[in-house]
Amino acid sequence: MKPGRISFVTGGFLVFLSWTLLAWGEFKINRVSRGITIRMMDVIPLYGWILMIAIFIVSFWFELYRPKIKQTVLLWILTIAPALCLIGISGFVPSLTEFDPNVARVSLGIGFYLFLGGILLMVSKGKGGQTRIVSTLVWVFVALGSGFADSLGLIREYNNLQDVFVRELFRHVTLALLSACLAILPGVMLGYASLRYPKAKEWIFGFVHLFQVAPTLSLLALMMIPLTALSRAFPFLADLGIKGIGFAPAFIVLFLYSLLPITSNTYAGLSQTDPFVLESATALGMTEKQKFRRIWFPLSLPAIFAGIRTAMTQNIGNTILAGLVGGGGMGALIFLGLSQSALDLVLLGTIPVVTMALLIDAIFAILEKTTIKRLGVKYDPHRTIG
Amino acid sequence: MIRIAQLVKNYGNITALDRVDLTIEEGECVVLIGPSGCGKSTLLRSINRMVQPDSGSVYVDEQDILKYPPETLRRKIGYCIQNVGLFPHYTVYENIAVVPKMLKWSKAKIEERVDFLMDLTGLPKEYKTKKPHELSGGEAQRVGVCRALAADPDILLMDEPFGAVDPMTRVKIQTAFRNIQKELKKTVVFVTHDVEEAVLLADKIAVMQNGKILGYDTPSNFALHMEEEFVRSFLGLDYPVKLLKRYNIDDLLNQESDSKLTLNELLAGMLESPDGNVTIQNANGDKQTLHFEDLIHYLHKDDQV
Repeated sequence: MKPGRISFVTGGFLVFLSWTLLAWGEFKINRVSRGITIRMMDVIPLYGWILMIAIFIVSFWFELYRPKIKQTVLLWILTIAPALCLIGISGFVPSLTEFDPNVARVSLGIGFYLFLGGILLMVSKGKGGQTRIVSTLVWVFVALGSGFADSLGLIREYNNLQDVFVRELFRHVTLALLSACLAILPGVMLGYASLRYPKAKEWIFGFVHLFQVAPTLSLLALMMIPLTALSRAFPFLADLGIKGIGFAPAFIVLFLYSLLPITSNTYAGLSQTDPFVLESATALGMTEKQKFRRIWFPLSLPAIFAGIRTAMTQNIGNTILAGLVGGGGMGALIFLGLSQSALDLVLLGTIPVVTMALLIDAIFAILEKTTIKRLGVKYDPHRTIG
Repeated sequence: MIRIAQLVKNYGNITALDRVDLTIEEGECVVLIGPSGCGKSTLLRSINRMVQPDSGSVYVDEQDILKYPPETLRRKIGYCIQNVGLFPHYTVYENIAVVPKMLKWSKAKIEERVDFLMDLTGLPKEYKTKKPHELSGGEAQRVGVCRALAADPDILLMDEPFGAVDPMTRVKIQTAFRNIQKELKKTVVFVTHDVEEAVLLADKIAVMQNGKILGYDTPSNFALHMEEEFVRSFLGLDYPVKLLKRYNIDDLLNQESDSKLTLNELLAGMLESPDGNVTIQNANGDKQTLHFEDLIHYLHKDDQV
């Protein structure tokens, strides 16, 4: 079987499973009450069922017996299904209980996620699969923001915490990206130094590996001690925000964390440069400086970008931990949600983090590709180390 | 003129150059030949200070090369290697223009020079904007030659420049290079391990082994003096046959024509025909029959063999 077909059939199975057996969500009268389980039959009216089953039977029939017939249109129709289901669930109204419509909420359950996963697998089949995956997710976001899904717990939490959310999101991005950006120059310099001075290489790599191996959380804790001491000794530092908790320790740890991918990728990029190209640069009479600036460094750019890409995506995730030391970011929401057992709040913190990580990864993938194309060099990302 | 005096270079226990003396006259193409590890590349690379010798000196135009900063020296010496080493992120034009740009030539002058060189090496004008990965091996090699010649250096160093291209293309490039050399009259030092290439291109051949030059003479004189055991085994007992490749039918008939027939091809023709005679059309359009004796007579005319 072709991989596309495997993902299609597996996806179909997941969708089927989510429909028949699993809970799609819970209806809660307020934030902490026990919920009423929502199943698919509670949400979708009979004709909707018939339509959906028809779509699935038809698309499976196409898939298995008429694989040559284009089912692209069907796949595109499927991309909107999760978004519609989301609105459907959020519109769920239990018949028996009394409740305040402004407080009651619906939390998403395993059924919906399985359904979403199944649909993503199905639409990923064939040409344009990536675009369909993205558009499925875009539809979901549109549904969330449309106002039709306002009784979802996720949206309720957002509406309650809108100011905090925006502030922490901004803080999160600043922390993650700024620390990674500041690590670019020292990272590149360390990478160059470890190639130029082979004796220093082990020390440099030992140094940058140290931060990568040490658990982030313990590193944050370790950072508190010297920073607290510093801010006590020089009170003006505390006024600048440099103290044991808050922005400073988180920023420093994230900065140190970003060093390894940038350093090791720079090293890999520089050492992978065709030795004959470098030899002819020297033989044509370039000085060391000219050789580095015009030939060596530009040819290593794709690898360096790959390092920055890794540093940034990994930083977006790690910044969550800043929430633990008062550094803010999405971690603040997530840990608040965890402490209150408010899973929707946890989700509200997690979804932007995942989205940002994917987005940055995609942006840098494009950047890398265009650099490689513009440079006209072949670069194999699998040959990098670290 | 390049004069190399008592040059020594050791790599650990290995002697790459063992008190080498060599003088290369202006406008001469000298081919260094020998088995791998004989020191020929080391010798070549010590001329533009890519290799720092342990002792001894190299003089270019009677000036010790240590007098100049290495960058200044290298910009005056063209350099071309087997792997070409074109800069992959530069276009063909930018690749060729590297040295002139460093020497701060005017834009118009650079453009004129690039056009001239691309024309000389037979590269179409459209190639200027191409990137190296769009070129075939032979084309890349031509660009490499252009780049080496870009700033019009008096000296050209070539380290197995045509080693990586396929045999068909190699012959084409070799012939093209021979014609270029006839026109430009550069002082060329050329490293190869291919005897036929050496015979075709060299004004003088230096046969090397274990860091020593065992014989240094014109290709035709080598046919007479192969006393040295190693030289004989390296050049091969069929060396006089290989030597025939150097001359073409015009040299034999003492005429000018478009005929590209080389003497070893003529010999092949004679071997093919039952009576050993080959009839050809000479420059006047007349038919002329050549005998095996003509070939021998020509080669021994100036005591060439």
